[in-house]
Amino acid sequence: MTTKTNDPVGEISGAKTHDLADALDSAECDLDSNQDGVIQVQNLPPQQRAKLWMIALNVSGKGDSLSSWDGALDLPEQTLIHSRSQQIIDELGLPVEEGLDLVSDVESVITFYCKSRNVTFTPDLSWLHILKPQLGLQLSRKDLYNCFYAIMNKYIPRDCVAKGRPFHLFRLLLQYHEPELCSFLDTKKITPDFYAINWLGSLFSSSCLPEVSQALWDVYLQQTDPFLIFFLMLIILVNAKDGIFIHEGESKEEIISKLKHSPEFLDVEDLEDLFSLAQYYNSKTPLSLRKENHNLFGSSLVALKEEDMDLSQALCLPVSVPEILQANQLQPEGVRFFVVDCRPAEQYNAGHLSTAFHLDSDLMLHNPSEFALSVKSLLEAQKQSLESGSVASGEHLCFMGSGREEEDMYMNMVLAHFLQKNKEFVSIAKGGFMALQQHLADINVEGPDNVYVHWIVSTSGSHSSLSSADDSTDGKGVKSLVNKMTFALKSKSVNVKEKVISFIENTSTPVDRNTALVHSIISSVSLCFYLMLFLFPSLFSDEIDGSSISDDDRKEIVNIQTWINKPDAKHHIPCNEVKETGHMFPSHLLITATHMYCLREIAARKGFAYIQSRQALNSVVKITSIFVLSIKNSKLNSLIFQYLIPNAGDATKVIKQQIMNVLDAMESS
Amino acid sequence: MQNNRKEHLYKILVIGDLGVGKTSIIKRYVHQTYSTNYRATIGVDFALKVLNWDSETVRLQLWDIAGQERFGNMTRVYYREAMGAFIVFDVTRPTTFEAVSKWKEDLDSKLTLSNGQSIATVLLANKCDQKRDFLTNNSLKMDQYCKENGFVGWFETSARENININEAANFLVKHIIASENDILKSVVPDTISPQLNSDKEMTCSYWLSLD
Repeated sequence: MTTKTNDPVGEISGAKTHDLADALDSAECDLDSNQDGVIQVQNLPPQQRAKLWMIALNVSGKGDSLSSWDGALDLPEQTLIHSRSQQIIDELGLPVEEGLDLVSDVESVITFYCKSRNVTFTPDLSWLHILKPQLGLQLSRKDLYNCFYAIMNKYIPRDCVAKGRPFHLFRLLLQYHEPELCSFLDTKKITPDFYAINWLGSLFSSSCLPEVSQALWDVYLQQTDPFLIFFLMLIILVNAKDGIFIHEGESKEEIISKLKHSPEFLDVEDLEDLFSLAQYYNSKTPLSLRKENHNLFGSSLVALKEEDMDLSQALCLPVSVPEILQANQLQPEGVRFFVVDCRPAEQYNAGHLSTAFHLDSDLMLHNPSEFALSVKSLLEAQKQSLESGSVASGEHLCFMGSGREEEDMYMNMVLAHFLQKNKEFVSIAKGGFMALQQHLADINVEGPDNVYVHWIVSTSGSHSSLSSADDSTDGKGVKSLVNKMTFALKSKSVNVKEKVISFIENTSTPVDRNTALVHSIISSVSLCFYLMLFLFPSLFSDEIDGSSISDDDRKEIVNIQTWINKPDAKHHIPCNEVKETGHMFPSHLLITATHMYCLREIAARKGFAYIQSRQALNSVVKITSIFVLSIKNSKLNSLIFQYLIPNAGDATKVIKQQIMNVLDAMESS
Repeated sequence: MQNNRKEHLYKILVIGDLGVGKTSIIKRYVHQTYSTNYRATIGVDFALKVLNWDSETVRLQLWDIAGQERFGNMTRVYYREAMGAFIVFDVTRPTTFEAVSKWKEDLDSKLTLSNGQSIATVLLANKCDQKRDFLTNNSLKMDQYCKENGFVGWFETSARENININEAANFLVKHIIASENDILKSVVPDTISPQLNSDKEMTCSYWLSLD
């Protein structure tokens, strides 16, 4: 739905109209070349689609696995397999001849799969839905089997059954981004397997229209990311959210059915947004979701270890200690954590992550009013650190306990308290402080130069800080530090009062925060649309500086009507500007031949407005109006402006057209 | 002020199946509010209620334990050091009553007083303002059930209509204090029958069900 050509980032690009078919036909087609965040949705003819999928699944040229098989269709559940195969072919509405062959192919593929994997076919499996999108592609029986096998192996998570592990994981993901919806569904006792078992089991082909499924797979298979399905599912839920909340009183069954059917409304046109959104949410999700669960996919027999965390019992998403340590160091954008240390004060003072905020969870029980104050100062400190861009900053709250169940019971209550208040981006440090110590010992960092040495600081006593401990042991590495630290745990020089905000180190490394702008607005999307503009600040910094000053007296005040009537104002679009805080300001977009102005109404002076921003149309990198909300996901930092507009479709068209005019003019000049 | 005033702190668990009204009962008791906007409790929550008990102060920590199965393992740590419990069921949903014995067994297996006795537990038949089908009006049967399953008593309650909540709490506190005294005296307590406590504005469901 978008395009704009001066696009050095290489996102959705009209300029990059690779002829995919040509690319595929050229001998050594490398799909990776298409993967730098490019999502291309186009309508492919069957042969090319077959080729594309086989390459993406890495099965082109693969041998015939069925050759060793005697072809006997003699499983106990054979009648069922046959009737299901027949049924799915009937749905395709093919000529009789062709249909018969296909039924036989499908039945063989399923029968052989059952035999070779020693599994039993049951009616609730989504296998036929997996085969369905492939049936129109004129694949040979061999290729059909290879594709089916590859999809099962690479993309369908194990334990994809009612109450299975993937659904517990999905629930945690939903809770992470949409706590309110998650809580609502929990209240209705609707677990994700009720509505999503076929989504996950068939990569949506059970629910989407056939042509949508195929187009979706075109993109999906090229992404080669088995976890992507979780994010697509998340977007479907985000999109269905308002519809569910409006009819809050509906029964469990009604809600499940509504959710189940919601992907049916997906259109090929929506896919690009669906994937962009999925990628956006992905970028806002801790990597531990994947790393700690990678054994959900693949044929590895290592499968699920006993020690793996029981996700069905998890209070919220667990994040690994290494990720916590790395995230704030390495990524200016993406997931950054604000670590909340919930251990008792004496443990905290004896040694803690230098960036961690201390929230004494005992307070919740023993002094509720002080606890409320602490929570307030926590949120304040988080805000400040985000503003200052310190290394401690992060919009993702990660709670750290001791790692010992008994001791962490109050931390769990604090955590539950935040979750109960529908706080998003809440996670727990897997294994707690114990795991942190273990990890530092494991990586065994040597010398004071190592970044990790500075991770742990101690505030108990006058100078039992770890750097001084380090001096005394002559830099023998973290192991000795950790020993010192554990020892220090027993010291009892606690001054509870001095524990709070000061530990947020302000390293004043400015970090671009523009990427943080977006998440808060999602909740209010319903019948309206968002219009989002993405701009390059580097090119037009003067104008953007002007626009980013908020509540500033220097802003020019104008009469709205006068401006609308100006001859060079080509279009006028009333809207609401949406700020990162979620605040909305009644505004007017005015499009001229070269610029877009945003006039913000002045509440106190009817008919007048501030000139809130002025953007050159050729600075717009991307513009989107979509069914939920869209996001830009690029390596470059850009500014994002968001406007809520009724009937945004028309408005977007108008603005896009004007942008194209500007660009055409630039090119021809 | 009254420096010689004695203070007691009692931890009371509120347990039972999902959606029976545990949080509503606590809200009603502690904050005198009721909300129709139901949301399942996540993990564990708690609230504090201060009572003037004769010449003493009693602080009740009411622990609201989520009924969701998912938290089963996690929430058990919160049983520790509790002195009393409410087990709640929903009179309109028979399955929640069937689960009562499961909750009681779970509680008794994980928690005993220092004298080996299980903690004082009161059964609450909540949502009694709503039409009910399965629960027999035969209070004798309920008495029998309580006796067999080790409850010190039962009440029909309604968080919405504020029926019997204070009464049930007072009743439980009385039992907690009694069992505390018993422990002090190292005397094995007998189940105290509710009728003996009919003084002190306590109305037990035995009488209410006659209304």
